[in-house]
Amino acid sequence: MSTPALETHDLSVSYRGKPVLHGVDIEIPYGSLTGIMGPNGAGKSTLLKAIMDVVQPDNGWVKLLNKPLKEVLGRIGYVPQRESVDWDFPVTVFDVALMGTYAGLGWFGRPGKHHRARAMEALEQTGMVDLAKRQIGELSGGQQPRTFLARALAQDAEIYLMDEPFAGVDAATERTIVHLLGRMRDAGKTVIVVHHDLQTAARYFDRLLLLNMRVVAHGLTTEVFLPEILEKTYGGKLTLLSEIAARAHQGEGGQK
Amino acid sequence: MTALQYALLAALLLGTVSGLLGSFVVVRRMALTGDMLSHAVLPGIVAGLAWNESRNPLIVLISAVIAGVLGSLTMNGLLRFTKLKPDAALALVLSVFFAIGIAMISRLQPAGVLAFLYGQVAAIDRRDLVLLLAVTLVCVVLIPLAFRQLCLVSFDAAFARLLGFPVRFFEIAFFLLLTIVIVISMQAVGVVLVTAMLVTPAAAARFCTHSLPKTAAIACGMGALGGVAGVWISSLGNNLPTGPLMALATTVLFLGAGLLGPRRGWIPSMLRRKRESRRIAGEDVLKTLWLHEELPGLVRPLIPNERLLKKLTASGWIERTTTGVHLTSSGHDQATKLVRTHRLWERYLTEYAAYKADHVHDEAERAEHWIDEKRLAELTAKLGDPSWDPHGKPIPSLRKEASS
Repeated sequence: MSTPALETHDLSVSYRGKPVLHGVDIEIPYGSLTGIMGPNGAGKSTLLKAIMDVVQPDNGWVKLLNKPLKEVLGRIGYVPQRESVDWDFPVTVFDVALMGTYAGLGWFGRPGKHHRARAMEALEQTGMVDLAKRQIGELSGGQQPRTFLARALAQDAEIYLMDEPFAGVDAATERTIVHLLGRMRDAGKTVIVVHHDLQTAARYFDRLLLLNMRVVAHGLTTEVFLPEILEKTYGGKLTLLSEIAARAHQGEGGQK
Repeated sequence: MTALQYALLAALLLGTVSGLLGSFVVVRRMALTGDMLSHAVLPGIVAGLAWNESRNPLIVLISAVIAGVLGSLTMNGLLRFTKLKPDAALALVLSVFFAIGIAMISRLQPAGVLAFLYGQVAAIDRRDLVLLLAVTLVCVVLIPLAFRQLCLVSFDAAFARLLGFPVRFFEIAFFLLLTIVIVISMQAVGVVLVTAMLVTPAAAARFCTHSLPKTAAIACGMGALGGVAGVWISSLGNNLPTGPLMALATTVLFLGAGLLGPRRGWIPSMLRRKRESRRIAGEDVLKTLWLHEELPGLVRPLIPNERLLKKLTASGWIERTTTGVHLTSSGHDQATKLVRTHRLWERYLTEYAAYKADHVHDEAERAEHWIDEKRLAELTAKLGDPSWDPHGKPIPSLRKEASS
């Protein structure tokens, strides 16, 4: 098998002494559209944060484009979860899209005409041109993820990590996002999306990663979207696993 | 230069630089961190003053910054190794460091420390002013040059890191700069009021604009104006303290912005609401007249509001004859659109939102004023241009070119 776009090996993460992810091994091929699914508290967002090196893993490693994150900065894109954005921040929709073009700008560089054109084009693709001058807090629930998707498009990265872009959006926006994700995949991008809705998962994604504190199943949608695997993923938290792991962690000198 | 000129210049520079940094403090929600720093630097200031015969301001500044760094390291440690929440950790560091500072003052009794505790612009001498000027110049030149990058890091640090910006370096640089500005402002306004000089101008600017560059520019202006006004007012009488007056003058500007700020100020918001409610009242009059034409006698009579009727007449939507008030042809088109919107919305609610027919009228009464032409066209297409509302009343069609 050729090298994967994203690879993690034995990745384990804990938050303040509480283990969240155990020994996660993933290999995601180039040019695929993968959904990360799992119940609340399964560690979906945490996995993205560990991949982005925002949280330090206890164990294991991550490789993006066959390299550690530090060596591929600028080539990885990210769409944050709605709740983690400060919607009151004084920036406009256009400002956010333009931020996608800042890679390589350095500390004192200024975005030029060509950066602006890229941002505008991205806003066109997400249907946000009319709202370009709005402060982001004045957007509706469907327009908010479109703004950040525009930033991702303007960036033209190779791997995209998206944290629940479908949460709380209207049907029209959902169609737009699905369409854009498909186009990104067809353009050879590797897109990894945390998703909540089981109803749509099989239609939206080529590959699924079913997560519940550890990888339950991972592969082509047709191979893993099966009742018994879903049952295993969503059939309650693994109480014993988390309890024992927490005890072990504390006993080894972690904090309470 | 006279003492007053010194003080005015110091206030001008201080106001500018604290307004500039303060706008980042406010959008990054770091106001309490500023407060913590202003207290945590005290042991360093006391040490710098006590063990530095010539009272060189640079040495005082350096030892103060060291104390500030120790304070925030302590805070980070508390957050990392205990389950304390940020507010508790902050309060803890603030009070412990301040207590140490006060204890050191009693023991060492250094000269000039009162200026830092209570603020005393008159105590700012030539050397202080040179230092202040240097810090202001660095901020006013560097921050605007890297403004977009600073905005990115403040808005979405995780994304900035993925793009390759050295976010940690930025955080540390910003923190050091903030500590320096806090130490310098303390001489003018005192420990407690430093936060006021940092936060108030930027908070005021947020009433006026939704752009970060403008927020920063307005905050600089307000800080400078408030500082200078405070110094000037205190020079007018005896026993008028400078620091508190600078803070109060800035607060007056804040109140002014809160009242008049074009974006979120109270008066512009109220005027906008008033304008909307006048529009809605006018539209309701047109609609009532239309319904009266549809089914005379069934509609409750108009409660005439002379001003409103005059305005509608002036807009050419109604005319008043001896027989009463009538819709003009353009007023009739306008009213038709409203009734159409109302009844289509009722259809939409019953068909798509599972409303019962007897629950939709009030909803539509509100919605009809907020559905623009584009949405109306969408609604028409979605519902397949129906002819009847859920109550069996006809949905009127628009005349061709009705809205021209």
